[in-house]
Amino acid sequence: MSKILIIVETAKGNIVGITKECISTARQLAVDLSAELEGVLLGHEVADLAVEATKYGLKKIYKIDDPQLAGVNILYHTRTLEALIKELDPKIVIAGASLYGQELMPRLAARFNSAMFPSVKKLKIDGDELEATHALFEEKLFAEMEGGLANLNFITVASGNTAEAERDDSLTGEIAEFSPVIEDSDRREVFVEEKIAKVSVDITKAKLLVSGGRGVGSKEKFAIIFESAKQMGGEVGASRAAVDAGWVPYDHEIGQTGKSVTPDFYIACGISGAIQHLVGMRNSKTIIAINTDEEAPILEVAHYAIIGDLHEVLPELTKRI
Amino acid sequence: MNILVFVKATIDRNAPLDPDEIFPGDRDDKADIMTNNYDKHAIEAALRIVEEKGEGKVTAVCLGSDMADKVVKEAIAMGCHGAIRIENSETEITNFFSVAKILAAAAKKIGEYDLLLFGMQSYDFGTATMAPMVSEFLNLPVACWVEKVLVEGNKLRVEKVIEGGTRSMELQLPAVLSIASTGDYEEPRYTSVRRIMTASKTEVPVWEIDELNVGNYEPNVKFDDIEKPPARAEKCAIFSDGDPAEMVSELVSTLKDKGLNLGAFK
Ligand SMILES: Cc1cc2nc3c(=O)[nH]c(=O)nc-3n(C[C@H](O)[C@H](O)[C@H](O)COP(=O)(O)OP(=O)(O)OC[C@H]3O[C@@H](n4cnc5c(N)ncnc54)[C@H](O)[C@@H]3O)c2cc1C
Repeated sequence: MSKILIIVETAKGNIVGITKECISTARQLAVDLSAELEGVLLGHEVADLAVEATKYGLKKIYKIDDPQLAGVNILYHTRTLEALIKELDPKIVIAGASLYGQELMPRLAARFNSAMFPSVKKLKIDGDELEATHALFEEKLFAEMEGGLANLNFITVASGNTAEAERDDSLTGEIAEFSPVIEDSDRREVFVEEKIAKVSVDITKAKLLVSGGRGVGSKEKFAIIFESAKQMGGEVGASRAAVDAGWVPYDHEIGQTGKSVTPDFYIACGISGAIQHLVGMRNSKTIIAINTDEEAPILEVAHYAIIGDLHEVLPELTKRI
Repeated sequence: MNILVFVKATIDRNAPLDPDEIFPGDRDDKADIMTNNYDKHAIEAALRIVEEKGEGKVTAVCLGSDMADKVVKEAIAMGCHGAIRIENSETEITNFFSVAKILAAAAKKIGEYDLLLFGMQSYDFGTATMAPMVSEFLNLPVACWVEKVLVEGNKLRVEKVIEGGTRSMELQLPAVLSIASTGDYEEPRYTSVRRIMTASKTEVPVWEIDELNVGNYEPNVKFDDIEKPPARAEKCAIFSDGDPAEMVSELVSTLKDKGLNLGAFK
């Protein structure tokens, strides 16, 4: 039976959401190709995570558990996955288009002298071809891509296009051990350290989000975002600029490296609308922008915009609601 | 420290988008072309690294048609010491796999380099594949989404973006980096009148792909139809007249007319 191999990504001891989207996306392909859905997980002390991965419908997990993989070293991952892929000979290899997946997969594809399907939104089989949709010009145009199924295909799946696979505790799968492959020359890339914020607040279920960006101005001034959200019965969102400045914890970050949200109302205050932010909120039902700049790209996705200083506009809006 | 920084011409953000004219070579108006904005952060990083080291040279390398001359000149006007354009007017090679092979071959031909820098993605195709693919074709270490670079002898200490934080890596030189649009290089410098003068006087060699010994660069995955999604039914309603109270009143009554209740969550 042919195989589809999913690269299971973990962070802070959890399987990341995008991996679960990959599994959802791959299920139909597995049916169409009558292929087995398998996964590979690299890390240190990841036995529990490997078992957990089977609960999402992966029939077999190749577990590569080694102290040398304690910190993410993408070169070690590339070398090891290259060896695993050569051994398993899957038809398709899929990873999430996370920052990790987007760095890993082109490297892996290059090692097989292959192009790939980068950041795809849709994926289907048509005869002996694989077809996918990739966004161009920051989602202003879309391109169809195609490649023959006779080749090994590498795919990264863009987030926010499929529901995450649900955990089903009745599912079981086999766990197979595989050893890391690391050559001396691979010590040219060394993991030093990582700083990742802890997440304790979940803003993804909120119906109303009041979201603040660099335009809010300072940590003290960011209180206005919390205050308005509270008074209107919503949660607080933020751009990465506001999070990086330390005005608001990472839990609130929206976009490529934060959460994807689709509330009934999204009020973007002092957020310019960089594509990395837009991908996390553009499917909100009603988007209201408050910005001093009428040319800000956020207006391309907003339904309503007030051009003005958020520190004057937002209190007024809160008062009227 | 010899740095190669790879730059690309794309359709300008403010130019009209036409699915049949998505490549710079499709247009005749230079105003429709811009330097891929993400590449400017890479240029900024290259210049800063050389400035901080107090020695070195930055060369911009561009695969493009003659419409990309503007981009090459802008790189010099920002401060790059020289540039090379690889002619792509007739060939029109656009697939990232082919481009990565050609750029890797160009780097080999240049030969002397310590660091290869790329923007983190392109505005047009946005595949973010260039730095990782080229690094593999040249068998060099790589780090993507880099916000901070410290040169320590023949090693680099870099800080890169990850979801929810940053990761530090140490790379042996020569190495490849993709530079983030945030962090230390968030604000690329402007060109100056003096530098624009220099750029206009700088001779930019034009290389042919045939000279590069690329080998087979035919991609096994191809871009096919390009489509424009249906335009939004309604444009953004903008309230920009009057004082904040008046604008808010207008917004609130418009929402009400549409049956949208912003007060439903209190
Ligand atoms: C790898 C990577 C991943 C990233 N992931 C994310 C992500 O997940 N989420 C994210 O948000 N970003 C992300 N970014 C960053 C992104 O590219 C932008 O830098 C960021 O979104 C900008 O945040 P901002 O809109 O708050 O700030 P800016 O772009 O600086 O915009 C500030 C806005 O505030 C307006 N303004 C200023 N003063 C006022 C005022 N008084 N009243 C009203 N408006 C005002 C300005 O007109 C401007 O539009 C990522 C970047 C990288 C490199």
